[in-house]
Amino acid sequence: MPENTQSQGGHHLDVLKEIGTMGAGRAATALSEMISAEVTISVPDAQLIRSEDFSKTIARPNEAYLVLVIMLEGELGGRVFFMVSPSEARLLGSLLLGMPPEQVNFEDPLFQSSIKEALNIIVGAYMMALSELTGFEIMFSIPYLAMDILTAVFIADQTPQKSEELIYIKTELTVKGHNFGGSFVFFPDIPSIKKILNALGMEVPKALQEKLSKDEKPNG
Amino acid sequence: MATRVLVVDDALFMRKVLSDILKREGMEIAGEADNGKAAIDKFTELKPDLVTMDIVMPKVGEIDGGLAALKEIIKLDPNAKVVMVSAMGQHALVVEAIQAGAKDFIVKPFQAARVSQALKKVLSGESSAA
Repeated sequence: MPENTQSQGGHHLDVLKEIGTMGAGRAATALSEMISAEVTISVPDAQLIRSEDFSKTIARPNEAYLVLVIMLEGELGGRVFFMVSPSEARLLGSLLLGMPPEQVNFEDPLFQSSIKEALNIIVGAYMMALSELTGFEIMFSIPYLAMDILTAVFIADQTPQKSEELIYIKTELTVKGHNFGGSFVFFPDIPSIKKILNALGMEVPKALQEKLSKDEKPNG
Repeated sequence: MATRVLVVDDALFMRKVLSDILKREGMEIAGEADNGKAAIDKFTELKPDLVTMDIVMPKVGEIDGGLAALKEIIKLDPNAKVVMVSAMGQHALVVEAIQAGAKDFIVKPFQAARVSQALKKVLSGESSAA
C-alpha cells in the first residue's frame, strides 16, 4: 500500500472525496449528454499521495494509457492529467461515435478528437468542483492527448515548481452495462498545493509544511 | 431559405456534433474553421448568417483563440451574429465575449434543445448582452 497522508487526518480525505463526488457527478451528467445514455457513478476513491508512490497506486503502471494533459492558469497552477486505458478509450469512442467497439480506429482523427473532447469535458467537471470548493478561479490551456506509459508522460511534464504531492481521484462509471474507469490526477505547483489545502480548511501535514518552507526558501 | 452557419472549433468531433444538431434544425453549414484566423477569413468569404465560435482555440498568426476572432469579426461587421461555445468553468471568458459583441453562448456538452433555443433567440434579434 503506497504511503500517503491518510494517517494525518481523515478530514482532508473527506474534502477530496467531496471534490471527487461532485466532479464525478458532473462528469457523469456531461458524459450522459454526450452519448444520450444513462451514466451512473461509483463513489470515487480520492487520495493525496506522493508522486513517487503514484505508480504503486494505479493498475498496470507499465502499460500505455491515453492521457489528456492540461496546464492550469489563473489562481491555481500545475498540470491536470486524465487517463484511461486503451480498452476504456475504445469503449468511450464507440459510444461517442455510435459504432461497435471493434470498428474503432485509434488512428482515426475523429476518434482522437472525440476522446480528447470527452476527457476535456470530464476534466472540466472535476475542476469546476475544485473551483467551487476552494473559491479559486481556474483556467485551462489548450489540452493535448498523449498515449504512453504514465511515467513517460509525467517525466515530460515541465510544470515549474512542481509539488511532490498530487491529488488522485479514481472513478468508475457505468454506461450501458459497461464499466468505464478514469483517473484524474492534479499535479499542482508548490504555491498552489498550499493554497488548496488552506482553502479547503485542511491542516497542512507537518511533513508537507516543512517541505513547503524548504522549497520556498531561495536557493543559495 | 435555410440559415447559413459558420462552425468554428479546433475539435473535429465538436464541429461534427454541432453541425449535426444544426442540420437537424434545418440550418445549412456554410463552412467550418478550426482556428480564429481561419474563422475570420471564412467569415469574410462566406458571409454566413450566424457563427458558432469556440472560445479556446490555438493561436494562429495574431489571432489567439475565439475571443480574438470574435472581436475582429465584430470590427468587420458590428451586426454579426456570433454565438460562443464554451466548456464548463469558462464563465469569465463568456462574459468577456458577450461584452465584446457575442449574442449568446452554449456550453459543451451540447444539449440540442439549448442549442436550438440559443440560435433561435439570436436569429430573432435577441441577445444575452449584459
